[in-house]
This record gives sequence, structure tokens and C-alpha cells, in this order.
Amino acid sequence: MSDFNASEQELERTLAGADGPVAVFLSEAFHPAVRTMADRLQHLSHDGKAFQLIDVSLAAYRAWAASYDVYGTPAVLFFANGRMVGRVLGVVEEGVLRSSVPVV
Amino acid sequence: MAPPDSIALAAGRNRAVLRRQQGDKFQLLAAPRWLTSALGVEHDFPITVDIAKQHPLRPLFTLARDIIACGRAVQDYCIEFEMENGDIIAVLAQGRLDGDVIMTLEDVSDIVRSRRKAAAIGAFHGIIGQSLAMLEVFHKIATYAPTDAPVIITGETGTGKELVARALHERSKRNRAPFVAVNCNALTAELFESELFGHEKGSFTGAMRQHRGRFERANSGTLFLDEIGDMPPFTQAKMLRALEEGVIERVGSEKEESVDVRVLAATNVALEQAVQQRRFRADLYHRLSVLRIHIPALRDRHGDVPLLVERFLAHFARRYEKQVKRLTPEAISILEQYHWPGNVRELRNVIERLVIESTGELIGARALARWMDEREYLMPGEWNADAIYAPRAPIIAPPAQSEAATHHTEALEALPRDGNRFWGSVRSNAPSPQKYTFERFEAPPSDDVIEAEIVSSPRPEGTASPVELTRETVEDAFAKAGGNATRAAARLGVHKATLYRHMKRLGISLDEARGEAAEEKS
Repeated sequence: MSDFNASEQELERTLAGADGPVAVFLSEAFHPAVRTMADRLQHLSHDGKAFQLIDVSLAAYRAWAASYDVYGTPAVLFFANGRMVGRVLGVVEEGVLRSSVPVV
Repeated sequence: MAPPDSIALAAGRNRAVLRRQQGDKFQLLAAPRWLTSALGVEHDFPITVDIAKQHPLRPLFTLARDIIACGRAVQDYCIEFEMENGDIIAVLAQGRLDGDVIMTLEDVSDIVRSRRKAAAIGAFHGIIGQSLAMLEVFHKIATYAPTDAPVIITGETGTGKELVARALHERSKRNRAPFVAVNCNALTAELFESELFGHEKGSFTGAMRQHRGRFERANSGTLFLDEIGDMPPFTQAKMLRALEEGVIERVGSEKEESVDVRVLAATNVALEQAVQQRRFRADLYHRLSVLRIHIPALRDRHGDVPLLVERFLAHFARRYEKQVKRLTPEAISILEQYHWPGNVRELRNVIERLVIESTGELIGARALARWMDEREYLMPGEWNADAIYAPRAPIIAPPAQSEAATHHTEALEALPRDGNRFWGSVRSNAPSPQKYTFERFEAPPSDDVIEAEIVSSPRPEGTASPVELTRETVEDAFAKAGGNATRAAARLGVHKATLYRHMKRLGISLDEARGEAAEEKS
């Protein structure tokens, strides 16, 4: 999982320029729930589900997250070709997470 | 759609009920008063909101919309409401669809604020760390501190268990009363009871006066029992009574004293194992282990190493009035990849040594070479009394005064990098920002920097110098030591780590040496 520290515009550019699906993990780490989801995402990304995983802090990307109607953590936004194609809020089972990954 | 009376049933102190009207319009049928007052919303239901427009409660409605759209429950989602003045109100939500959207909400603003503060400054009550694992520790401290329940703090030696205990005390309502710490390992069984519970004058030989025990001294405050697994069995029974009933009895006294003490305990061994082996009472274990905080080992949060290095460097530079400002990226990378059997305490001591020895502003990787070499075979969990009290490896002399004995950048730059071997037992799969090989460091012959730092320890008569160790002497030592590596090293007059290094050089595996010893014995 790569921590993203650049600007919101840079994040948008990264999402638009990505070859395959991208999962943006909003991970304000105050609660074990965030860690649970981080582990599940990591596991999924190593388990044949090909997507790029980007970890961003909600506090640092608040306005960007709000533009996708996300106001809390843990949240995973799935992007394909620069457009949001799915999202998961809160803690979900790995199966739910797996089914949310877009096929590109 | 749920019947109207289900709303009243669902609406509790921490419940919110939301219903979709049409399109983007939602109705809030019930919500906790603390939430509406915090957000400055009238507590007058139903509140109708168009989700497409700005509203203080909008985050709640967008979550409700997602729950309706997905048709499944949401667990542990932390909604953040941003106020106009920039303050954050954080609410932990569990939501489900039951006709209406029913949500359970918990105010976690204090936790989020303290966590953010900790992340911003990288420290929480003196505990340094920004990693996810440490942020969880901080979160648990903040959650557990206000309660009176006992807490067991687990973690390897040197991870900062007492710091966590102090943080729990400082954040509790007992923080104006004393924090009293006892190391259960440092007192004999006879002294322990008297030290913990006190004694009356004349209760035993040498009891010249009445003595208040640590329990009494911690009255209204917190008692921290370090290394609880080493508590003598008889004292465990008295401890259980003190915890259960809040009364203690001084040694030699017939009177019971009431005490109001919160007990925190720490252990670096698995108490469950001690219970199984009947070294620790199961009832006391259950009484103490209400809450548990596990402090991760430093190797499991190596991302915190740069932050710790920075803090320790600044601290020791101030203490020893040195100019040293930072470590080179190579040096930091090496420290990040080391397995840290002694954890933060070890890192702190390493930095102290580096600061004392440095004369420049920058400390390079080379300054660490010999230090790492000494620890090559010290694996996690081996930082025990056997290792500490075994015959010493070459010790580090006081900083040499020669110009050569510096950690200047020039000296570092002069070191040929290509093909240099540093050491071999560091984390092999850890990401390294610097692309150099981790193999044994060979100092150039002309360089006397490293040699100047080493003095030999006195060697017991009749023992071999490490360079003279041969396959036969090593095997012989193992045979005489019954296959025990520490005792074999003692026989050879070398540190266990040194023995391991020479075994590697000679191509002898530990199993092989032990097997030889067993064969010879049979």
C-alpha cells in the first residue's frame, strides 16, 4: 500500500492515468476497524485481485473525499479510468470487498 | 416500511432513525440530543433535508443513502462532521436497514482529537510513535484510562510498558494521587510481601519501625506491578484479596486496612503459560486481565525508527552538548532493518553511544558497522539474562580522542561502497531505500577507526581467543556443555554471539553441534 502525500490534483491525475483499477483507502487510523480493512485490502491485493492500492488520510484529503460524499473512515473508493465505480464504507467482509473491485 | 411505533423503540440515547422520502430528500426521525446540539441543529423531529444541499447533518444522510443503496449493514464507520470553525465532531456509526435506516452513534471526538494530536507531534505522553500499531496503543490508553479496571500491559522488554502505565495514570481521574511502581523481579519473596503490603514494628528481625507498603502509598492512585509473572506465589493470594476486596494486611498486623488502588500490571512473558505451569494463579490472572494493551516490538513498527532516532538524537545532543544533527539515510535505513531484540531501549542506547562518539554533525552507516556486528546473532527473544550475564564480547572503549575516531561525512565518503559487506542477519525482506548489499563489513586496512573503538575483555585462563577457535574446540566445548550454547561459549571464554559467528565461519550448524554433543554423551 502506498501512502499518498501529494496534492489532490496530483491524486486525480494518478487516478486518471492508472492502467487498471485503483482502490483509494481513506484511512484515518484511530480505530482498529481501519486496520482490519487495511489488512483485508492488503490480503486482497496479494490474492490475485489486480488493483493499485493508495492509502490517503481523510484529514489531509477532506475536501477531495467530500466531493465523493465520503466523510469518514474506513472507506474504500474504487476507480477505473479515473472515474469512481464503487465504494465501500465501514468494515465489510473480504467477500464484499472482493465483489466491489471493478473488473477492467 | 417500519410501523410508526418502531421509531420510538429504535430511538435511544445513541440512536438515529432516517427515512428516505423521494429522490435526494431524507427525513431524520430521531437523533441523539448530544449530536444535534453539537452541530447546532434544532432537536425538533422530523428534520427534512435535501441531500444535494449543504447541511450540518449531510454526512449522516449520505451514509443512510449508501446503506439503502447497498441494502447491507455498515459497521464501524467513523463519520466526521466538520464545523465552520474547523473543529471536528467524530461519531462512530453502526447502521442497518430495517425499513428505516437505524444507526447507533457513539461520540469519539475526544479520541480522534487526541490521536490527531499524537500523530501531529509523534508522541503521546512521552511515548513516541506514529505507526498504525502505536496509534492503536494510544487509542486504547485513551479508552481505558478513565476506567478503574485493571490493565495488563504486555510487550517485549524495552518496549515502554512503564510509559504506557504512566500514561494510563496521567489520563485517569487518579492523576493527582501517587503512581507507585514495583518491579516484582527485583525483590526477594521474603521482602516482597513486606514491600507491597507493609509491616508492623517488630514483626520480624530488623523491622525496627512500622512500614507503609506500596499498596498504602498508592492509595487513591495507581499501583504498577512490573514483571507480574515473577510475583511469589504466596503474595499472589494476598494480591488477589487486595484486588477483590480492597483490603490489605500489613505483615505482623491483625488489622485490615482499606485501600483504593487501581492496579496496572506488565509482563514480558506469556502469563497464560505461567498459569498453565501453575507458576501464576489462574484467579489472579483472570482478575488482572480485564483489559489488555499489547505494545508492539520495534521490529514490527520499523516505520517509527526515524522518528525515534530524531527524538533521541536531539535529546542526547543536548545532554552531551554535541553538534550532531542527523543520521545519513543509509544509517537510518540500517537501523530500520535491524530486528531490535532490545526494542526502543536498545535503540535509545545505540543513539546515545553514537552521539557520545560523534564529533561532527552527521553520523553515517559506518559508525554502526561494529555495533551491528556484535549483535549479528542476537535474535528476538534472546535478550535475556543468559545473554546478558554470559562472558562478554569485546566491549566498547570510551570514545577515542584521535581525529580518525570520528563519524564525519568525509570518513564515510572515503569508504568504498562497491562490494562492501555490512552484515548478514538483518531483515532480509525489508524494503531498503538504498541499493547496497547487506553483507559483512570489511574495513580497509589503512582505516583504524573501528579498531580504535575496541578493547579486548580479560579472557579466562585456558580459554581460546576467538580467532583460534577450530571445529574441534567448538565441538568439544558443546560436548562438555551438554549441547548448551551459552555454557559452551562460557567454556570458550567468548560471548554466545561470537561463538555463533565463528560457528558460521567454520560451517557448523547449531543442530550439528548439539547432535555431536548428544552423541558424545551417549
